[in-house]
Amino acid sequence: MLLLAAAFLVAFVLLLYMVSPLISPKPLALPGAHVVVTGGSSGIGKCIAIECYKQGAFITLVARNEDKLLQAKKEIEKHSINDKQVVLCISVDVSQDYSQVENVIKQAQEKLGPVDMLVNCAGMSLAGKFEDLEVSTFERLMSVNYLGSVYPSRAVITTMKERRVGRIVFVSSQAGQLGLFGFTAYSSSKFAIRGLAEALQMEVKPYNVYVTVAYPPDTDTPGFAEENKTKCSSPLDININTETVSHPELNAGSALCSDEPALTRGRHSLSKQSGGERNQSELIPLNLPLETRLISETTSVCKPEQVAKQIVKDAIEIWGQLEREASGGWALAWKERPCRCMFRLNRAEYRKHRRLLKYLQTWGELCPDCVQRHRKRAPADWADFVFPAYLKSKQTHSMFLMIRSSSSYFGRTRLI
Amino acid sequence: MLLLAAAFLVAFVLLLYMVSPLISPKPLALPGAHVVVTGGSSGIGKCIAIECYKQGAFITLVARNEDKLLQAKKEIEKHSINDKQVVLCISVDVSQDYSQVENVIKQAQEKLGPVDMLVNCAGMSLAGKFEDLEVSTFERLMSVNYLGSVYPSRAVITTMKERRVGRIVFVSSQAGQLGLFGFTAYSSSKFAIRGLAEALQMEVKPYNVYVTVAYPPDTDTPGFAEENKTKCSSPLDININTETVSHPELNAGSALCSDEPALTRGRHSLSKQSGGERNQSELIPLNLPLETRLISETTSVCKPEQVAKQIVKDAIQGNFNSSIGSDGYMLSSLTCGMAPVTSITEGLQQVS
Repeated sequence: MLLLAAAFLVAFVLLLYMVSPLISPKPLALPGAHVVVTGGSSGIGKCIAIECYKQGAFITLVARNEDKLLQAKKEIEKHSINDKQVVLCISVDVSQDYSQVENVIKQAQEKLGPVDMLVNCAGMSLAGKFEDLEVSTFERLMSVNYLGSVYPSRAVITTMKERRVGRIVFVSSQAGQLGLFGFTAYSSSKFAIRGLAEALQMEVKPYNVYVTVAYPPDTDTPGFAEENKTKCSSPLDININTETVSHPELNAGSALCSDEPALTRGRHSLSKQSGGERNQSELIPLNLPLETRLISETTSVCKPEQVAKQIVKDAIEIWGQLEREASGGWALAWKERPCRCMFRLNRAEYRKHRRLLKYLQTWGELCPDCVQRHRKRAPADWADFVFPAYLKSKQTHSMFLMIRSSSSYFGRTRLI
Repeated sequence: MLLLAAAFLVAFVLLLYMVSPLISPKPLALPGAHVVVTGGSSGIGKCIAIECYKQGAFITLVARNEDKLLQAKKEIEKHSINDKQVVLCISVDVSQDYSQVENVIKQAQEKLGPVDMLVNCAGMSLAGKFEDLEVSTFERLMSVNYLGSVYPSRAVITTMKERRVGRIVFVSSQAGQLGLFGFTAYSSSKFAIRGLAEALQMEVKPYNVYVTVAYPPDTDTPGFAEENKTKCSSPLDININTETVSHPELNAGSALCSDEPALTRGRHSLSKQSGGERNQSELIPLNLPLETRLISETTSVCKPEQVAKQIVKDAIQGNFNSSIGSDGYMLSSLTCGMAPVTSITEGLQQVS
C-alpha cells in the first residue's frame, strides 16, 4: 500500500518533469541582445557585462563616474566575439531623478535598439549598529539601492511589455533574505528590492517578461571594500585570544568561493589591530561592530566573476528562475514555478477547493492564453483557467500543502 | 527500530515543550507601561492603543492630524480601568525629520516615563500597475512606511537597551510577505520594514528588547478606504455576469474576520458601476487594476479590533511574527524565511 503510494508519487513527479519543458519560458537569446547594466563600471555589474558580452550581447553601461566607465568599457571590449558588438557608456546617477534615467534609457534605445535585459546592479552598502548609523544613511541606502532599481525598471518596462520579451535582473543580497546584525539599513533596502521584484513579476509574467533576483554573498569587489571601511563606533572592547579564534572549518562554504580561510584572515587582522596598526588591504573589516565582523568571517568571500556567471545563466535560462547565490546556499533559495495554466476546473471543483485556490490565485499565474481568455470572460471564470489538475482531489490537497510548505518561500515550488 | 526513533523524537519534542517557558521571553507587563503608538489616531493604531489602555497602559498617540488625535483620545479614554491612566497626544509627521521625532519621544518620556513599547503603525497604501504609478509614489510610500518606522524606533532604542526591557512593533502587511499585483511600491515598503525588523531583532535581543512584525490582511479601516479610492488606469473592460459571481463560501477565511462575503460586496459594487453610479462606501475598490481587485476579493476584510488584539498579544509575548487568522498563520509559516523564531510550536511548523 505504501509502496503503491510511493510509486504513484514518483510517477507523478516524473510526469511533471517530462511535461515541464513544454510550458516553460523560452530562453533569452543573448547574441545581438541589448543588455543595460546599471552600476556596470565595477564589481558584479562589470562582470555581468563581461559575461553577456562574451555571449554576443550589446552592452550599455550606466554609472556615475565617467573615468571608471571608460576603463570598464576597455576591459569589456577585450572579450568581444565579433566586430558588430558595441559597448555604450552613459553617465548618470540612477537614484537622483527619474526623468534623467528615462532619457538615458531612451538614448540607449536609439543607439542600440530596444532593451532586452536590464540588470539593476547599482547599489552601495554601509554597516553599523542601528543607533550608531547616521539617519541620512537609511535614506541614502534606500535611495540608491531601491529607487536606483525602480527608476531604470520603470523606464524599460513599457517597451518590454509591448515587445512581449524581456528580462529584468535585480541584485539583492543574502542580507535581503535574512536580517543581519549591523545591516538594518542595508537589509531593509535589499528586502525592498525583493518585494518589488515579487510584485513586478506577478504583473509582467503574462507578457513574457521575467524577473530575476540575485542574492550574492560577500563578493570581493570595490563596493565590498567600501563597506568594510565603514566608519563605525563600537571599538574593540574585548581581549582577543588569538589562539582560540581559529575555526578553519567554519569556512567550508562553497567550492565556488575563495579557499583562503576568512577567519584566519580575520584573526590576522584582529591581532594586527591589537598591535595598533590597521591594514586596510585586509578584506575583513576592522572597524565594524564586532558582531558584524564575526558574521562576515563565517562566510567566504566570492569572486565577482562566478557570481556574474550564475546571475546571467539564471536570467536567461529556460526556467526564468528567480533566485541564485553563488555560494550554493540553496536553503535560502526562492524559485519560481513555470506557468501552471495546464488544466481547467469546472465551477463545482472551484468551489470545493476555494481555500487553496485563494492562495494560488494570488500568484497570478497567467500565461498569455489565459490573459486572452480571461479578458473575454467574466471575472469568476478567470479562476477556472489557472489551477492545475492535482487540485481536483481532496487527498492531494493536503499533500500539496505539505510539499508546498517545504519550499522555503510562499508560492515558489520548483518542478526541477 | 523505527518505533524507537519515533519514540525518541516524541520525547525530545515533549522535553522542548516543557523547557520552553524557562527560555522564552518574559511577557511585558502592560499595567503602568508606557506605550507609544504612531499612526494611533485611526485604524489599527487606534485599536492597538485601546487594547493596551484596557490593560492598564499609559498611551502616547503620535499622528499628524490634531483633530483626529483628540477624537481618538476621547474614544480611548472611555476604556480606562483606573484613575491614573493618561493618554497623551502629540502631532508630528514621523517621516519628515528625525530630530522632530526625537523631540516628540523626549517630550513623551518626560511626561509619562521611559517608553516600554513602541508600535509603528503609521503607514499608507497606494495601488496601481507598476508603469502607471507616479514615480513620487514610490518615494512617498517608502518614506512614510519605512522611514516613518525607522525614526521612532531609533529614538527609543537606546533607552530600551539601557533599561534592558522593551518591545518594538512594526506593522507590515500580508503584502510584505508576498508581492501582489498592483502593489509594487507598497510591497517594497512593507518588505523593507520586515528586513529592518529582522536585522534589528538580531541586534537587540541580548538586551531583552523584542521586535514584533505584524502582517495584517485587508482590514476595515479609513486607510483601507483611502487605498480603495486610488485613482488608477485599467477601466473595466469586460461584461460582468453577476449571477455567476456569488461564492459566499469563498469568504470562509478565518473565524476572526468579517462574515459578510467580500465577493458578494464586490458583485454589488461591480453591478453598481455598470449602472453608472459609484458608491464609495463599498469596501471593494472599483478603479484599481482588475487583477488587484480580484485578489482583494479572495480574502475577507478583517476588523481592526481583532487585528489589534492579536498584535498586542504577540507583542507582549515577544513573538517575532504576528499573523491574523489561520490563513495568516499559514502564510507566515510559508514565508518565514530565516526570521527569528520565538516559539517552539512555530519553529516546528515552519520546518515541517
